[in-house]
Amino acid sequence: MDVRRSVLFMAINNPRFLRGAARHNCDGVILDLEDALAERDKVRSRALPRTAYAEVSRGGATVQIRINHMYWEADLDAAVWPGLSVINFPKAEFADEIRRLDRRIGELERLRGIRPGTIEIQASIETVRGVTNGYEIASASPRVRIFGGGGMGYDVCRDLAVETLPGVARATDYYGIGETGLVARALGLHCVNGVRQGTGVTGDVISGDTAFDEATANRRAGLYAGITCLHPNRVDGINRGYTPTPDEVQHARDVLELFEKLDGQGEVAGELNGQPVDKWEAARARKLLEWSDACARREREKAAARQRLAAAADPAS
Amino acid sequence: MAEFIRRSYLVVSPLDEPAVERAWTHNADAITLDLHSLPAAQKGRARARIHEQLAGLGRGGAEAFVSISQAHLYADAEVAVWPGLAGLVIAHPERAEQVQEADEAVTELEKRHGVGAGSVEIVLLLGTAKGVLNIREIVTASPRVTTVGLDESQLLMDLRLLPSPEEDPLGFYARGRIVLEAAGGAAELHGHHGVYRLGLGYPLSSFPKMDASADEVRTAAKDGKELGFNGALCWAPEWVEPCNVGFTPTDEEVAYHRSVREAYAAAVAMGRGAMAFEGGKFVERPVDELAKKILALRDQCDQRDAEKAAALERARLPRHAGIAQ
Amino acid sequence: MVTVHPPPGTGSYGVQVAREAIRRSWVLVSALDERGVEEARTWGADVIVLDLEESVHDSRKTEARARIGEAISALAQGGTEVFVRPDIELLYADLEAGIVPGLTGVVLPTVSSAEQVREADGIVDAFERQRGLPGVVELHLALETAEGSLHAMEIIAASARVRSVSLGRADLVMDLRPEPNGELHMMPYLLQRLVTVARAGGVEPIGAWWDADSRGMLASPEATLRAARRARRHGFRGGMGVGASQVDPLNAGFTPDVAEVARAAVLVQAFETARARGERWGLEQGQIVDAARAETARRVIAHAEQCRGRDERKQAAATAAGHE
Repeated sequence: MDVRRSVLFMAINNPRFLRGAARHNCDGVILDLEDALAERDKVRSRALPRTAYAEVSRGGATVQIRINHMYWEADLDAAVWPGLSVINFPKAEFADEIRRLDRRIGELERLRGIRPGTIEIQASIETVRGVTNGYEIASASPRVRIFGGGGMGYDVCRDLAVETLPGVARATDYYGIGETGLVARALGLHCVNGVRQGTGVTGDVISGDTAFDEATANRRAGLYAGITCLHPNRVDGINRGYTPTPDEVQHARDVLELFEKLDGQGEVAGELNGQPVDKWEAARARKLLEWSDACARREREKAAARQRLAAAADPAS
Repeated sequence: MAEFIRRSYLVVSPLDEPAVERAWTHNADAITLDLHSLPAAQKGRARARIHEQLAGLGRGGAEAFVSISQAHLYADAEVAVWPGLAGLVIAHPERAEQVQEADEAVTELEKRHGVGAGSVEIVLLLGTAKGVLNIREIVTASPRVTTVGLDESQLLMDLRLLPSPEEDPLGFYARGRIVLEAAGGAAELHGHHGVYRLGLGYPLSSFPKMDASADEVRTAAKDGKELGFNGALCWAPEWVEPCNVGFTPTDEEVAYHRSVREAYAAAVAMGRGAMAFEGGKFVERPVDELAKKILALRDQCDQRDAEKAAALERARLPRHAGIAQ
Repeated sequence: MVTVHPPPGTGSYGVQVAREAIRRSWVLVSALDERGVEEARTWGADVIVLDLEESVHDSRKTEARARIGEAISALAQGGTEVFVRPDIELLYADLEAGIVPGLTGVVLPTVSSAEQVREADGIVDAFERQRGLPGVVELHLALETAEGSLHAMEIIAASARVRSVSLGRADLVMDLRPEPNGELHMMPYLLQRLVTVARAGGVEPIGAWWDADSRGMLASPEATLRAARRARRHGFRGGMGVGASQVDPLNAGFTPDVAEVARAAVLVQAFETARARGERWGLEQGQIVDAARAETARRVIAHAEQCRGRDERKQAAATAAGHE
C-alpha cells in the first residue's frame, strides 16, 4: 500500500526549497518543471532533476516530477533518473500520449539502470477532454497507477472558460469526479479526486488549519490518495488527517475479532455497540488496519532516513 | 475566440403573426421560428409562412433559426432552408445517422435554394436518455452541428419523472455530461471551443415560467453560464435582455481579470512563474489563460451588442439602452 | 444466448406466474429465516427476494438450497412476486435450487460483465426447459461494482430477460462513504446515471436514495420513506429493504401521492384546453405545459392507478389466504 498522504509541491529551480524539503516530514515531494516555472527557466531547469532527487528524498520522501504536457520528450530525458517514483503528466487527454510516454520511459529506464516498470505515470485530468477520454487514458498503460484530478472542478472550469467559485460544486464537478472516479475504481487505480473542497490546490494555499479537515474529510469518504500542498505548514495536518487514530484502530480490531468469531459460528452478521458487523464492516476494518500499519511503516522509514541524515552531518554523535 | 455570440434564442410560433412581426425588436442574438412545437394539423399552414417570415427576422441584427421535427424533416427543411437562415434547430436526435440524414437533406436544399454551401448550421436539442448517452456520436456526426441543448420536458418524460423544484434531477449527471461532452467531445471537429451549449440554471430550465421576473431569468442565465452554458432558449420576449446580461461577463469580472493579467505580467517580468494574489490565491499561467478568455468573451459580446444596436438604429428605432449592469 | 419465450403470465402445466408492472417494495429475506419466510406473505410487499447470498454463511448453503424451493412455492401464492438472489460465484447450484414453479425472477448481485449475464441467462434457460417451466423468469441486475456501472449498457443488453436494474449495495462494494455535505461520495452521480442508462436500455431503475448515515438498507421507517420519495422524484420505481418495517414506507414513498395526482390532472387539463384552442401549449401558474409535460402527467395518473390496482390485488389475495 503506497502511503503518500502529504505531497509537498515545489518549483524545481528553487534551491532553498529543495534543501529544506527533507525537514518537513512529507510523504512525497513533487518537483515542478511546469506551471510554477517561468517559461524561460524551463530549458535550463532540465539539468536539475538528476541531482535534485537525492536531495529532496533525504528525509524519506518519495519523489514525483511534473513535466510539461507540450515538452514531454525533453522533460522525460531530463527526469528519468534513479530515485524517481512517479511522472506526473498534466492535462492528459488521449491514450496515445500515455502510450508514447510509456515507451520512452521504458527506454530511459533501461539506459539508466532503473528496474523496468519502476516509474509510474500519474495521468492528471485537468481538462474537458481529459474527462471525456478518461477510460482510454487510464487504461492505456500499466504504468498508470494514479488517476484523476486533485483540483478537477477548478481546472475543468478554467478549460471551459468559466469562473471558479470556492465552495460551489457544479454539475460539471460531479460529472468529472464521477466519470474519473468510476474509471479509476473499475481499473483498480488510486484515485486522486478529493472530496470537493472549498479551496483547491491553488485556493487557500497558506493556512495549516484547513489541512487537517480536508485530509480527514477525504479519509472519511474512503479516499486515500493524498493531498498536494504548496506550503510546508500544511504537511503535518494532512499527515494526521489521513492517519487512523488509536481509537479507530482499536475499534477496527474489535470489529474483526467479533466478525471472526461469528464466522466461526456459521453466522454472517452481528452487532457491536448498536452498529452492524458483517462482511462489509469487516472489510473496512481490515482496510483500516492495513492502512494504519502502512502509515506507521512510512513514519518509521522517514525517521530512519532522518537519522541517517543526522548521523552523516555529525558522525561523532 | 468564439465563432459567434448567441446568448438569447427568442422562440416564436410562426402562427403568431404579431409576435413574429415584433420579434426583431427585442434585441435577441437569435430568433427561432418554432415549427416543431406546433400540432401536426397546423404545420402545413405554418410552413407556408416561414420563407417570408425569415426575411424580416434579421432587422435588429438577430440570426434566424427554424426548429423542425425529425418526423417531418423534409417538409420542414424545404420551407426553412432559404437565404437568411442561419440554422435549423432539430429536436430529439438519438443516433448519428439521424443527424447525417438531416445534413444531407440540408446540403441538397442549399444547392437548390441558392443558399451558401455549408452555411446552414444545426442546433440539436436532446430529449431522451439515449440522446444523452449517445451525445458524442450525435454532435460529431456533421460539421454543421455547432450547438447542443436539452429539451428538458421531453427528457423528463423519457426518464418518467416529475421532479420537485428543490432538487435538480439532472444536476449530478446529464447536465454535466452535456457540457463536457459538447465542449470536449467535438473538439477535433470544431476547434478549441467545441460545440456550444444551451441551458439555464434549475429550476427555470425545467419549469419555464412565462412570467418569470427579469431577476429570476438573469440569475438562471448566470447559473447557466457558470455551469458552462453559452446561451439559452427564451420562451418569452421578457427573457431576452436578462439572458443577454446573464451570459455576458460583468464589469466586475472584467476589472478582476484585468488585474489578474497585470499581476501575471508582473510576475513574468520578474522572471517568475507565479505570483501571490488576493485571497491567498496564486496567479500562474493557467489563471492568466482564463482571464484572457473571459476578457475576449466580453469584447465579443460588446461587438455583438454594437452590431445589433447599429441594426436597430438603421431600422429607425431609438437606440437600445444596451446591456444593463 | 437469447431464446424466445411464451408471453408473460401464461405457462404450461397451468402454472400461473405473477408479473407485475408495479414493484415498489423489494424485501430481502434469508432462505434460512424460517419465521421470516413464514411471515413475509403478511407484510404487503410487492416483491420478496429470497436470499442465498449475503445472509447465508458458506457452511449453510446446502441447507438453504434445500429449503428454498418450498419457500418460493409457498410465498408465490400470496399475491407477492418472488425473486431469488443467488451468489454470483455459485450460480449453477443456487439456481438449480431456485428455478421452481412460482419464481418470477432472479436478482443477480455484483454484476460486472455481460459474460456473467449471459451465463445466468443460459443456466435459467436450461433449468426452465428441463423442468417444463414457462420461460418467464426475469433477471434483475444489481450493478454493484464499478465495472458493472461502467459497462452498464452492454451488460443490460446481454439478455432479453433483463427487466430492471439497481445499484444495490454499490456503496458497500465500492466503499463509498459520507462526504461533509451529507451525501455518499459519488452516489448522487451513480444514481442519476443509472436512471439514464436504465431508460436508454429500456429497463426499470430500482433504488432508494438513502441518507449517508442510513448505512444502506438498515434504515428506520422514516428514513426509508424519505429515501423512497427522493428516489421516486429522480425516476426510480421501487427500492430494496431488509425487513417488515420497511415495506409500508417503500410502498408509500414509491406511490404518487394524492396531491401529485391532482396536480397532474390540472396539467393535463391545461394542455388539452390549450390544444382545443389550437395553441402550441398551455400555461399552468405561468409555466409552460407542452405535449411532453402533459404526457408525463398522464403517466403519473396511470401509474397511481396501477399502484391502486396492485394494492387491491394484494389485498384480495391476503383476504383469500385468510391473513388480514
